[in-house]
Amino acid sequence: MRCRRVRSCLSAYCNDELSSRLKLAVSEHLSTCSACRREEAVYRSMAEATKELSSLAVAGDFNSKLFNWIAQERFAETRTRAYLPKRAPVVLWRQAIPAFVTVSLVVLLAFVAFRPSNTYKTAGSISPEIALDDSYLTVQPANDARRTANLNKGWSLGNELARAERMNRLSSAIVGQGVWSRIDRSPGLRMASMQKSTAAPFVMGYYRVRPVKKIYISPESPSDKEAGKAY
Amino acid sequence: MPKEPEKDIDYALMQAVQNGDMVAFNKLVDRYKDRLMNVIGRMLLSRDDAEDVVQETFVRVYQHRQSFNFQHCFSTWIYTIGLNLARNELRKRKKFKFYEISEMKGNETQLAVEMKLPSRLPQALNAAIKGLPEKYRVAFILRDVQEMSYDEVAKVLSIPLGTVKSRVNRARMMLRDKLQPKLEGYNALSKSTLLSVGLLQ
Repeated sequence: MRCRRVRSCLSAYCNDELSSRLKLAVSEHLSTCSACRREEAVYRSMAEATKELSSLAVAGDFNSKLFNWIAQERFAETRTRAYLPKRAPVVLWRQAIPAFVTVSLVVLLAFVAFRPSNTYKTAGSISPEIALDDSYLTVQPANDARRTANLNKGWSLGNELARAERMNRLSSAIVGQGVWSRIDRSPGLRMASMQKSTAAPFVMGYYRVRPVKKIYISPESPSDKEAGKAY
Repeated sequence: MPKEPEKDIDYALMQAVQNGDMVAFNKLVDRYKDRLMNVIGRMLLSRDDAEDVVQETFVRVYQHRQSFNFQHCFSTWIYTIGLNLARNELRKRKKFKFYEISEMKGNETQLAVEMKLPSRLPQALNAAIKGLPEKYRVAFILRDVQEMSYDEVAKVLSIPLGTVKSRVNRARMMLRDKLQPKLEGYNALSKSTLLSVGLLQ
């Protein structure tokens, strides 16, 4: 056996952990090699010193401290048990599904009943039948947001829209009959002719904007004042 | 001393503890507190921390007494709990703590005089064990200091038997490298003393 192999086994040899065959081989090598014998002496001294290491001991009051700790744990455990229910509530799926369905229906009904409506309220009343009181609306041409229609006492969005529709129909008729080329294009008609003749929109270039607060006030009659209230 | 009777004693005590016998638990504590302290103290290198960990080990044993499986060895079980708690403590600290040898109980000096060993050798060995990497230190302490079998060490550490043997062998070689100068000096001194006595005679 070579020294390198023997030295790798020396610690096990000194602790009597080798098989009989390997032990014999190491012994034979040690009888002839002084260097390995010195190594063996080192390992044997180390093994002897390890056995002579004194064991560590706990303090004298270790047991009393330990049992105090355990007593506190037991006390905490009993206190927890006293306040907890004996059985945790068990939720069965058969019970959970109807409850879930009920809650969903209630939420749905509440949403339907209390959802914000699109109709505006007049002062002091809520009525879905009352259409928008267009006296208080302002309109703007679609392609020019800076222009606004002048508002007077007799202004009405419905009248304005009807006027716009008439203009649109007239322009469509003119373009369709081929009269267009013989008529001097005025700016108004020119604007009207720019609309599509095939599909004239109901609102020709006008759209309704958010109501403006107190846009119309008439000092002439109390009813007008009432009508002049903001939404 | 055969291990079987010890195992039977542990089983009987554990059975009594499961039935609520605190006297049996006290006996179990007395049987294992110093063994655990020997291992965990050398791992943590601090007496106070080691005592806390050993106490917590016994508390855990008590809390989980009903879940102890009698097909396993009680000593393996309690060492596993103790070492896991010690590892948690080491992870928490994440530093190497200087081990005050003077704080530890023991009579290394006296024993060294009786066995004709240099008084510094056990201290040197202790210091060398401190310097081992954790995995080699644990394996060495369990095998050579606690004199547990390789099978028991493998079960406690949850590693293969071959790995245990390899780690123990590696630990011994590391200690030998550190202690060789001191040990060679001791051996030379003892030989020269014998030679001088022989000459006088």
